[in-house]
Amino acid sequence: METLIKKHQTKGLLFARTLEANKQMHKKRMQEQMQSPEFLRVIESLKSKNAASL
Amino acid sequence: MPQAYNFEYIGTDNNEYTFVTTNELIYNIAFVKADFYFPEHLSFKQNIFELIIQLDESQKNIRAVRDPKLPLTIATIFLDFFKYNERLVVFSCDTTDRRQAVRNRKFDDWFKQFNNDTFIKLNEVIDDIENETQYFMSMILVNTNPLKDEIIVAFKELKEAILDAK
Repeated sequence: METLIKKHQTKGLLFARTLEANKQMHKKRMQEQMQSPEFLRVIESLKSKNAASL
Repeated sequence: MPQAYNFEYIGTDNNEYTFVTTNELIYNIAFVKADFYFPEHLSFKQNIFELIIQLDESQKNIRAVRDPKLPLTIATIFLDFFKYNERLVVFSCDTTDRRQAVRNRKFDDWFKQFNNDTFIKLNEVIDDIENETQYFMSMILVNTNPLKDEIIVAFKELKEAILDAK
């Protein structure tokens, strides 16, 4: 019974911790990507579109 | 009635969308394939995506102001991503600055404001005693998802497992 409980507890916590760890990894990658010239070109284009739709 | 900001689907492998606010805050939103969650559920695990919202860190000193176009834009992006109704999204609110409860409340308010029974949002709070933190986890799926019942049971089992252990 105790083994079963520990297994269940591990399952829920593992899910939460994995979700959090993955998020931090992807946020770091996305932040790096946001500094790339290609990304900045997209941003400039979006700024122009925003200005045009004001 | 405000309109959503213009956004761009920049694709990559992670279904990324980006937009810029009036205050020139830059957001990047990704739906990253995450088929390793719920490995025992072969019927839907391949349709699981993890939601990541990244605000350009170099702009974090810009004072946040209430912006009604921001949640509207995120809602519009959700509608675009969920054009395939078998998809489902999981996420947890960022814990790095311990403001996860505030983020959870804000996202919930946005969800209630823009959802018109199109989506279902499941929430669970998981205590991590060892790391002295709480994880606010959510799953969002379309009401018409053909595997809705199975998915809801699988998500709820996560919390029941924690309660069993107490």
